[in-house]
Amino acid sequence: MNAAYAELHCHSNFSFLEGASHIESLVERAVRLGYRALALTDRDGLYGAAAFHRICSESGLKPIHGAEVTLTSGHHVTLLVKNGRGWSNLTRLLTAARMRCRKGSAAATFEELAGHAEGLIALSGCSRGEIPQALLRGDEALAEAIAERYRSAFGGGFYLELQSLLGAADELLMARLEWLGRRLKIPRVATGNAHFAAPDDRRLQDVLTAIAHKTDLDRAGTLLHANDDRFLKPIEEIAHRFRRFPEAVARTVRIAERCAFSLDELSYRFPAFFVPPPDTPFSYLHRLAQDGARIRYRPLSPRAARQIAYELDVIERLDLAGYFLIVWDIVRFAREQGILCQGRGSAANSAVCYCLGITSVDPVGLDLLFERFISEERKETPDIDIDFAHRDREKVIQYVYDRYGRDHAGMVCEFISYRGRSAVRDVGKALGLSLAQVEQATETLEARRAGAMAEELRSLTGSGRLGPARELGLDLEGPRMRHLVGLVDAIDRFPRHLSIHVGGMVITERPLSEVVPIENAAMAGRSVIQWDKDDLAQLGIIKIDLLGLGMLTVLQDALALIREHEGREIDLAQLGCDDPAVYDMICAADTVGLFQIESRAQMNILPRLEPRCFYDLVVEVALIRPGPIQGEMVHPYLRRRAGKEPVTYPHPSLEPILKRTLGVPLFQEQGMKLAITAAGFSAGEADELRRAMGHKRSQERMDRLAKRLLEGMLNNGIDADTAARIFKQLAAFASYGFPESHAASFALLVYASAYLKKYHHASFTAATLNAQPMGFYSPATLINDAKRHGVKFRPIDARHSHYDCTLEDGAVRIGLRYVRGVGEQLREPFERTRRQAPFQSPEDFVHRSGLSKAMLENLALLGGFRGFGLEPRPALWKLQALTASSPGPLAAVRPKEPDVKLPPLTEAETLEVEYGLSGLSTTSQPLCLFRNFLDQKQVTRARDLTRARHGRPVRIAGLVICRQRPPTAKGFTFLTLEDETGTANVVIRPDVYEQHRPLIRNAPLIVVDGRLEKVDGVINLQATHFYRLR
Amino acid sequence: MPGNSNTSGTNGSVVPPARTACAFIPRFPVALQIRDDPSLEQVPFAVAPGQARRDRVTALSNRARAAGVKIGMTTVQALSACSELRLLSPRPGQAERAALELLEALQTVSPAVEPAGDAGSGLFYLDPRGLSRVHGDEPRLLSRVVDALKEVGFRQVRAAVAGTRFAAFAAVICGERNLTVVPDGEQREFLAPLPLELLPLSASDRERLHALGLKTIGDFAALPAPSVEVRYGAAGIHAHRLARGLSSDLLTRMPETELFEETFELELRVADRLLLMPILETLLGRLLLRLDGRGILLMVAEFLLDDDQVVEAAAEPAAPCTDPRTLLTLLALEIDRLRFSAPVVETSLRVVSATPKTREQGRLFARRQRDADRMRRTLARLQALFGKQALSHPGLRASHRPEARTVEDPAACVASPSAPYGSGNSGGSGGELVTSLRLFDPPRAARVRLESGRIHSFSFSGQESLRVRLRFGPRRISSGWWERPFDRDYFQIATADQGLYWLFRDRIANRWYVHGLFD
Repeated sequence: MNAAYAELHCHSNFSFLEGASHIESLVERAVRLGYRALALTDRDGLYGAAAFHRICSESGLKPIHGAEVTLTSGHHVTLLVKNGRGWSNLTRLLTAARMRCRKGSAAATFEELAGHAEGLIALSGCSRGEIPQALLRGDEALAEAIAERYRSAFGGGFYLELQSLLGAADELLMARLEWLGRRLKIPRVATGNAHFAAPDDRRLQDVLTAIAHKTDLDRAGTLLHANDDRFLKPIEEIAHRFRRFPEAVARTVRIAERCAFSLDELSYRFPAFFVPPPDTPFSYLHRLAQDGARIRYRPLSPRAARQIAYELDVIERLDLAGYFLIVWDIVRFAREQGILCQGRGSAANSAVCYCLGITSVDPVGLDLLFERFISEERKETPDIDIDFAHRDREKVIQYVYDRYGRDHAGMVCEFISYRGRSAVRDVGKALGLSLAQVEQATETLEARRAGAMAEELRSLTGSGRLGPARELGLDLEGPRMRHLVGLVDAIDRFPRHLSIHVGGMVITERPLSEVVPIENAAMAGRSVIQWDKDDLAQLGIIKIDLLGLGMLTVLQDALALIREHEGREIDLAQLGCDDPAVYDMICAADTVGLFQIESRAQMNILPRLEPRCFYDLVVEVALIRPGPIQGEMVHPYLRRRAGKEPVTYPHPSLEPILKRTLGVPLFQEQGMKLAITAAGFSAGEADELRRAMGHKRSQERMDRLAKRLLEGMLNNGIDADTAARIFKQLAAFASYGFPESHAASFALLVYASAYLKKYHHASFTAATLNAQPMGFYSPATLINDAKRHGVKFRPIDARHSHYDCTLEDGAVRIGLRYVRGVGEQLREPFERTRRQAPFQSPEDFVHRSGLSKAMLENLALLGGFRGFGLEPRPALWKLQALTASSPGPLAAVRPKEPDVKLPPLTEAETLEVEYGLSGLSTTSQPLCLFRNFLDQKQVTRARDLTRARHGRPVRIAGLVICRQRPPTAKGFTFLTLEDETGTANVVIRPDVYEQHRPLIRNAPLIVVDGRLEKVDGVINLQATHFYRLR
Repeated sequence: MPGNSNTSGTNGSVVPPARTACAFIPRFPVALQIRDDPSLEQVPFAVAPGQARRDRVTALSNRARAAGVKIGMTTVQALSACSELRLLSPRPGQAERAALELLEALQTVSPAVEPAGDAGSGLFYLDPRGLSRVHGDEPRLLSRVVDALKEVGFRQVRAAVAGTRFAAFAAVICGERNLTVVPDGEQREFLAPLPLELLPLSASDRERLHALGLKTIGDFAALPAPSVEVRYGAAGIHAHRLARGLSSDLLTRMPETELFEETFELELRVADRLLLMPILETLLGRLLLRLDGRGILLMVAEFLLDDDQVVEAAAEPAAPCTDPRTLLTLLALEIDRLRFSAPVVETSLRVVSATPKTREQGRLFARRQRDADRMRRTLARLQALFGKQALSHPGLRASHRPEARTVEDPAACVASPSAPYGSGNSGGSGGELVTSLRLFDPPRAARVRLESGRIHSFSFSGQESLRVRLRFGPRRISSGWWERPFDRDYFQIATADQGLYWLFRDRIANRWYVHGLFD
C-alpha cells in the first residue's frame, strides 16, 4: 500500500517533560518512514521551531509549525501555521496565553483563539479536546455547538482530529467524530499524536511523566500512558488503523500542502533609534565615532582613521547604524549611573565600538581583525556583549524595558537541559530512589554529561571496581537499577525547563510577540522569549548581551572605597598597564583574588610565562583555555618563550600572523588569518570556518570547508603534513579559544585588579568580599591571603559593622552580610536604622536592628557583642532571654538573673563557629590547631616549600580550598591546600586517585605525602599517599 | 523529695527510697528476628511493616547497614542499595508475643513490671523495692533480670537500677557495663557526665544548649531553673528536673498486666473439646469484668495436657473487642485446628494485649462512635466465621492493569472511624468505559482459533469452543517495564450463543486468556 501521509500532531521534548524524543530523532524517523511532512505541535510553545526548521531543511522534510494550545477550560486544540499571518497570530496567541499565567503554564480564552484564527488551521485536538470530551460524555448536542463555534472561527480551516492509539475509547470516539463530521460537513483528518519517535522511547516518556508529576513510576498509575502507541508509525500501519477512514489519511497531505510558511520568511528589524533632525542614524553615529576617536586616539593616526572610516562604511552598507546607536545608548546610560561597564567578545575588534566607548581596548593598536566581528559575506548581524558591574545590571535591563517598551524587548531564554547529575537525580527518583541515594550517587560519579555519566555507570556494573561502586550507594546489579543506566543515557540533553539567559536581550521594531512568543519569567518584572541564543543567531535576530561581571563590581566598589578612605581618584582608563611592580606580583603567581589568572592552572603558568607587558597578559588569558590545551599549544609556546625551542612557522607566509605568539596560534583571529593567507579564504569564509568548527558543528559543512582549506594550503605550497597539523590546531581552538579582542578586554581587567591588589589591598579585599559569590576562592581564603600581605581585619561587631565590609583605619571590618542568615533584604533597613542612631546596648540592638532571633544568636556566637562587653557565650545566654518567644506576664518584674558561668569558646570552637556561621575567620586558620601534631609528624609548611629541594619526598597538610579534575587533564586531579603560611599545589596521578578516592573527594583537611617538583619556579607535589587530618 | 534516700513520711515512718530498674534489649526488632530464625545472622536483612513498595525500613541487621541500607528507606530504595537484602515483616502479634514473654520473664523477678513505649521498644521498667529478701542486693537482682531475659532467647541484654526512671533508662543506654547500679541518691552525679542527647529536648533547644558550651546533662543541670524556664519553657524545665535527678516520673504499677489471667484446674481430665468451651466462657467473663471496658486485642488460651505438653490457642480480633461471643467464636475456631496429644488437666486464659482504659471524662466531649464500634464487632464476627485471611478491605487504585485496580487492605483499617469505607483513590482516568463486570482472578487460559488474523472462536476452562459473532478491539495496555512488564491486547467478544467475553492476548508470552465476562 502506498498511501501518502503527513503527521500533523507531534510533540518533541520541547513539550517539556511530555515529549520523549529530540527533534532530530523525530525528523529522522519521519524521513525514514516516508512522511510527506511533519508538524511540530509542542504544548503551548514554539521553543523548538528554529531547530525544527533547521533540521528539516537539512533533511529535506517539509516542516509545519504549530502548537497544541491549552484553553482556559483546560481543553486542548491543535493549531497549524499556514502563512506569515498565521505565524504572528500564533505567537501572539501563545504570548497572551502564557502572560496570563505563572511560569510554566498557559491558558488561552476561546475569544483569543478566535481572534487570532487568520492564517491558522485548527484541529479538534486529542481526547482532551473540547469536542472529544463532549462526545465521550455522550453530549452530542454540546459537541455540535462547540464544533459550530470552531467552524465559525476558523471557517474552512477547521478539522475533526481522528486518533487511533489503541486506547479504551478510541474506536468509540472515532466513530462519534465521524458521525459529527458527516452531520456538520466538517472534514476529518487522521493524526498520530506522537510523543516520541519509536516504541522504545516509551520508557523515557514514562519517566518524564513521573518527573513532571513529582512522583515515581510505582505511584504514577494512570498518569502514565496506557501503552506505547504514541510513536511515529509506518504509513502501512496508519492506513490499517484508519482503514475505515481513508479520506482522513489522504487529507493530511492536503493540509500539509496548505501550510506553506517557512521561518525564512520571518521579518525582523531592530527598532529605529531616534536622532535629532536633520541627522540620520548614520550621520549621528558617524559624528559620535569621530568625536570618540579624538578622545581615544591622541593623536589620531592615519591608520586608525582609515580603520574607522572602513568600519563606518561597512556599518552603513549593512544598515547597522541604528543597532550601534542602541548599544551606545545603553552604555551611555550605565556610565551616567556610575555603573562600570565594558564590551567583551568580538565587539572589541571594532574601532568604532572603541570610539563609542562600548569597548576598552584599541583594536588598531593591537592589530585586531574587524571581520571577526562583522563580515559582509556573512548574512548575520554582529553580537555585542557588554559586561556590567553585576550588582547593578538589573538597572540596565530595566532601562532597556523602559526605553523600548515591554512589547518590543525581552530576555532571551535558555533551555535548562539534563546533564549528568540532574539526569541521575530525576531518573533515580522516578525509579523510586530516595533523595539521599541519588545525591550520594551523583556525588560519587565524575562525569558531567548525562551520556558520559551513563557510560561511567556502565563501567561500574560488574567491573569489580568495588571502591566507587560501594560509594555509589546503589547496587547496579539489582533489577530496577539496570534501567537507570539506559535512561540516564537517553535523557541526555533533554530540555527540562525554561530559564533566562545570563544577559541576552532582544529588541524589535514590531511588537516582539509577533515574532516569537513571550512568557513570564520566574523573576518578577522579567519576561522571556521562547528562543535561545542559537535560535536567534540562526534566524538572524540581533541579541545584545547585557552580562553581569563580578570583577566590575569589585573594581567599582574598590575605587569608591579608595576615594572615601584615601582621598584618591583612580581612573582605570589611565592606568597605563606598565607598572613593573604589578608584573612582579603576577610573575610570582601572587594572584589570589585577581580576575581570570587566579586559578591553579593559571598560577602554574605565570612563573613560566613571566608576563612583563600588557600583551603578555592577553596571551596569558587566552593560553589556559580548553582550545590551546587540546591543541597542545601551551607547552610549545612556553618553551619558545623561555628560549628552549626555536620559533618556527608552519610556512614562511604565516610568519606575520603568528609572529606575536611565537609561531603558535592562540587566538581565533589568527585561525581566520591563517585560513585567509594559507588557503586563500575570504574573511567571510574564514569566519564560516570558525563557526563550522564551533560547538555545534555540522559534519557535512565541516567536511566541505576542511577539504577546501586543505586544498587551498596545498595550492599555496604548504605540504600535506603541515597542512594537516595546521588544520588540527585550528579545529582545537576554534570553539574553545578566545578571540584576541576578548582576551585583550579581559586582560585590562586583569591588570586593573592586580594594580588594586598591589597598591590598595585592603580596599580591594573589602570590595571583593562584598561582591561574593564570585571568583575562584572562598572569602576565608581571600582573607588569609590578604592577612599574609599585611592587611588587618576586624571581626563582625554589632556596634561597628555595616551590612557590607568597610574600612576602619585601614583595616577591613567584616560586615553583617557574613552572619549566616542575614540576607540582602536587610541591607537597606539595617543601614537606615544605623544612620538614625548608633546602637547603645545589646537590648537596643535586639530591638532596632531587624535581625531575627536566629541571626542574633549567630551574631552573638561570632563575638558580635564583644563591643558591649559580652563574650560569645554570655552574649548568647543573654540573647536567648531577650528573644524568648513568650517572656510571660511577669517578665517585667522578674528579679535579676543569677550569674551563669559558661565555658569560654576554645580556639577550636571559635574556628568552628566562625567557619560555620560566617564562612571565614579573622582570627586563625584551621591548621594552627594541628601545628604541634604536624610538627611532630615532620609536615612541611607551605611557605617552606620554596626552600625544599626538587625531587625530595615531602609531607604537607592543609585545608582543601580547590579540587579540580579537568576533562582535558587525562585523569589527573589537582588539589590546592592552604595552611596558615600559604598555599600548595598537589598533583594526583589517576592510579593514586583511585586508591584514595573517598578521601580526596570528601576530606576537608588532608595530609599528603609526595615528591616535590620544582620546574621553572613552579612548585607542585606529586602525591603518593593521603591521610585524613582530624 | 524523690531521689533523696530514706525520707521520713508524714507519720514519721521511714519511706523506702524510690528505685526503678530498667531492662533493655538493644535493637529489639532485629534481635527478635534473629531469635526466631538464627540463620538470619548470616544474611543482610531489614524489617519493614510490609513488603509493599512504599513500606519503609524500620530496623536493620548489621550486614544490611554495611551494605548501605538505611532506616527510613522504602523497600524499593533498600533493594536498590542491596539487591540481596531480605525483607522481613513482623508477623502479626510477633512483637507483642515476644514482649509478653519478656514481661512474663521479668515478672518472675518483680511483680511490678511496665513496658516502655510500644511492644517493639525492648525496654521495660521494674519496681525493685522490697525484693532484696527474694533476690539479694541490687546487683543480684539485675543478674536475675538478665538471666530471665536470656532464657527467653535474647542474647544481648542490659539492665540497670537507679533512683529515678530517667537515670535507670540513661544507665541501660549509656552504662559502661551491661549491668549498672546507680547508688541511691547519686543519680545526679551519675547523670552529670552523660550526653545532653539523652534528655527529652527538641533538636533546636539541644542545639542552643550546645552553642552555650553545654555538652553534658550535668552542665545543663547546673543552670538556674528560673533561667531555664525563661529560655526553654515547660519542656526545658521538665528536662532540667530529670537532669538534676529529680522526677515524679515514678513507675506506674501495672499489676493488671500480670493479673489479666484466669486459670481453671480441672478435677477431671477432659478429652472432649466441646467441654472446654463453657470453662473458657467462665474465664473470659471474669476477665472482661476486670478489664472494665478495655477492648481485647490478643488473647491466649493455654491448655496443660496430661502428658505435660502445653497447647496454645490465640484469639486476635481485627479490632479491639469486648464481645464475649466473638472472642469465644474465634477461640473455638482456633481450638478446632489444634491437636491434643492427651486430655486437658488445666486451662488458663490470658489477655496479652488490650486497649488502654477509657477515661469517661474524656468521652464527654468526644463524638459518639457507635457505628465504628458496631463495625468492629461485625468484623470480629466475620473473621471468626470465615477466618482472618478471608476478610479484607477492598480499595481502588489508579492502574492500567485491570486486576491491579482493586487492592485488599487489612480489614482492621476499615474499623478506624477516620477511614470510612470507600474513601480510597477512585483511580482510572475520566471518560474510561466500564470494561467488565466480572473479572476472573487469575485470568483463565484460552485456546483461540484465528482466521485471517481475526478471532474466529475460542474455548477456556474445558468448555466447548465458542464461535465469535462480533469482536471489538484491540485495546492495548502495556506498562510495568521497570518491574513486572505486561503487554496485552484486549478484545470484547460477542459469541454466537449471546455470551459477552473479555479476552486478551499476552503479547510477551503470546498466549490468550479470558479475563472476564459481561453479565
